[in-house]
Amino acid sequence: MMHASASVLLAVMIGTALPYAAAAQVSRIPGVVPRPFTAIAHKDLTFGQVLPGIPETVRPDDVRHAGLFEVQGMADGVVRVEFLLPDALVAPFGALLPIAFGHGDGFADFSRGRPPRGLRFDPRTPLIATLGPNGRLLIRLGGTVTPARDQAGGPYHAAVSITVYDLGI
Amino acid sequence: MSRVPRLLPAVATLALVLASPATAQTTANASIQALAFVQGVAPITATGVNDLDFGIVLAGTPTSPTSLASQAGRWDITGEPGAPLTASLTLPVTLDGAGGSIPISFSATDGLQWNPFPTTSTTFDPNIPYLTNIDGSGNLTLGISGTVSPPAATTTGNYTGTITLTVSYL
Repeated sequence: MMHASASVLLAVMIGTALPYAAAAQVSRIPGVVPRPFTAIAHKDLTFGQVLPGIPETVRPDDVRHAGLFEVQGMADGVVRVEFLLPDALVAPFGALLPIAFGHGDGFADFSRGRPPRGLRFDPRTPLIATLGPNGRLLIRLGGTVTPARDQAGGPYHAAVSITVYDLGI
Repeated sequence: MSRVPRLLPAVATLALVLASPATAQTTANASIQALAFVQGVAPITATGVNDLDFGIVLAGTPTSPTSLASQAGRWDITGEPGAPLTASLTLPVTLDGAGGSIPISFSATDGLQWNPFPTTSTTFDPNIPYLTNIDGSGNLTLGISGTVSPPAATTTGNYTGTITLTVSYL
């Protein structure tokens, strides 16, 4: 949305001449300055200690372990959120730990508090959501890792990204 | 004579200022990490540390290594202490060189498990999968010997082949 503002400065000498006296009238057309549109990564998705052969799931409404993003923009703005999700976590020595995301592993949190309240969604598909009256939206992410019976021990990690598109109001 | 006040000329200045339209950012990106720590077995690795070297062999004379410690092939394996594993060898039937190929064979006692290297070894049949354990320190050393049988008319030269060890947890 394009905005323009213009200022008009008008200086007029009015009335009985009073040297060097001038009355000025200024009018200004107000413009709408959009709030900065940002996406913020607040918290990693953490599965903690995982045992070989035993899948481990983090619910998206698990405030301790679920990943957490925040979108900030115009109040009541509409946004499109797309996730870039990994297929596996990787150990420093190259071993892979499969990870999966499914229906309900995404959570659009409208409560801004505990316990979280909102709507669950499938993070594998784009999310269309409205920012709250304060121009903010919290998005939580869960998932499931499936270690093999002979899964090599050690730390595993992978990046999870979101791209958010501002669709306006 | 009175002086008629004069209106000073009106001065009008119009200043039209167009502010640059605020360009709205339309996309944003953010990334987090997905993290897990697997309480699992140590990764298993195998490293070839010595080639099976028959040295100088006379044509027409079957030859085996005279010093297993220095001439037998050898791999160092690391993994979960005490874990059972299976070891399989892919063995050639010939060594190839400038003069063609020469036969190589492996008997039921040509597989070696060093306990420890280079002082003590036990033998196993390298032609079939071998079941053993990684030791308490997470190490295992396996070796391979064999016999080459160059025909009498074998051309002088170097002859080589590849022996592959595959280890996996049970």
